[in-house]
Amino acid sequence: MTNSLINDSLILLQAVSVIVVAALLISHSPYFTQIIEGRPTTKSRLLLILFFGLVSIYGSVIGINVFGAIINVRDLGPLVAGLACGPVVGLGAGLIGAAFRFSEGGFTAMACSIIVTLAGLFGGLVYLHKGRFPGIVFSTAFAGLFEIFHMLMTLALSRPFDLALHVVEQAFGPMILANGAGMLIFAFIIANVIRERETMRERDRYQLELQIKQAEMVVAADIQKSFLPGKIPSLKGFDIAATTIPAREVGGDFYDFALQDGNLQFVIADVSGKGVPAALFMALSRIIVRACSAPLRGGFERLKCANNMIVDDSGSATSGMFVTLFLGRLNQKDHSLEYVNAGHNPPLLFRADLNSIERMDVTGAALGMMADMEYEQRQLALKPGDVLLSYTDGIVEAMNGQEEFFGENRLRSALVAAARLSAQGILDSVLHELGQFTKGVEQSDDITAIVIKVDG
Amino acid sequence: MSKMEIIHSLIEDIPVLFVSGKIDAVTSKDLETALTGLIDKNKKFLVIDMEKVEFLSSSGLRVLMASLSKLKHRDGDLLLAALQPFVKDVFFLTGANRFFSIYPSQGEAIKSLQT
Repeated sequence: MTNSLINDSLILLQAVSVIVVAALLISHSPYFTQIIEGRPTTKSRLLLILFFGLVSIYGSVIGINVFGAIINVRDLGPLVAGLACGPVVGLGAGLIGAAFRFSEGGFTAMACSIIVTLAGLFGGLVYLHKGRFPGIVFSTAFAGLFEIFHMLMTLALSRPFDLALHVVEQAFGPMILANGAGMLIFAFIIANVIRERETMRERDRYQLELQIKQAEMVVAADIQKSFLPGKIPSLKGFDIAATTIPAREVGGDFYDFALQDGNLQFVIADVSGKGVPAALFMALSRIIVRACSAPLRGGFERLKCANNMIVDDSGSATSGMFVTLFLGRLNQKDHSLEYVNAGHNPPLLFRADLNSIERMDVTGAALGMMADMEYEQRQLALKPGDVLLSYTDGIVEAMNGQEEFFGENRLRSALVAAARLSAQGILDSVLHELGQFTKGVEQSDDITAIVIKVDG
Repeated sequence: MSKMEIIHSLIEDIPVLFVSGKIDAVTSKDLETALTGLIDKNKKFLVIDMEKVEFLSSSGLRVLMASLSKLKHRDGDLLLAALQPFVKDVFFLTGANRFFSIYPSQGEAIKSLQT
């Protein structure tokens, strides 16, 4: 008795192990994936029919003989096949299981063969009704209910009735438990695979979306780069270098040069905020500044006009967007510099003869803040060796790991230290100092700088 | 890393926001939400106490400008109080100080609204 109990338990354990391995193997196979993703092929259907048919045969073979009736998990394979893969696979697997069971004979052979076929069919009908695998709880309960149906059918179809009743009495509990447990294992694994696939699909979709966005950003960045002057115009007596490094693909900084009547005009500007909104606003501002500057070669009235256009046309008043801007005009003949500073970080002017730095302070409010603003124009004389460094706040507000700003003082020191180099040398040296300071900290704002050096 | 806190309060029936920390590109969105919420409730006058604001970026200034412009549109105002030197610099540097009413303390800002 004890021996037989141990033996039965070992057989049960073996059955569970085989089912787990089988479930893992099949559920991770590409054929199963094709079915659950709703693109079944004839090949994958045939293979799954064969597989679940074999599971059914195994469920018969593993059975324990009780008075010629076989207590088994024969229905399990077709049930799973139906619930997870639909009626075709379910019915196919059921027929294989039925053929095998029928060949084994016994007084319940007919009943059991019909029932295992129905297992596949019913499972498949549930799948059709739900449109998908019905889940762990439902499947397990369904397997339990089906075994009750199995018992009733055995009583109805098998003769002699007394013997059938005896078999059913013996087998009732174990059959429900065994098939329920088997289904639980299968359903758990299948549900996991389905969830995995869904997560993967979602991830793939996000990745695709991200790729499209990135591709769009690359195009946007190219368009924005095309706004910048391709080549810095050369002006006799001056050495000029400029660069802009956006923090993201597109930025809110810009600079521009224009040669007119032997004078070189230049502009450096920074739009509030960053990213795409700043970039859009920047594109608009730049075009407006350009448009206004064309007919007004003389004074700086263009800024007043540009400001009004930005306020009127860009909706800057409601969005609060604004652009700070420094506009300068270098006179080639007398080396004078005229400028307007509309709310921009004051450029630094290194005086070679004094070895000291002057600030070119704000002469008006940032553009876009309010209509009809006045912009005061100032003028100063440049001398040989002088260096003008115009920059955006991305430089002075760059932070290091200790959350300290690079600040104007460090920028001044970097400028003084490099002032004897060429314009490009000064620019590189300042950016190098900045890089040393922020080491390892991601650039958070756009960085732009123009260096103009008077030949010495 | 970016941290900003906003404490809502009502003084003499005037909504006052006590803001502390850094108003940068990230946190300015929270400030915008707070201000828009009050503006949508049809408030005309708002006071922001900035005594504990240590940093104001151009994104933050943009949010303040936008709110100011909405309030002025309905004959209201956005009053700023207790600006730290760095924050004050941002206003003076960009010229934005011309558009805002700036007070030494939140108390004085409230008082100016009662006369």
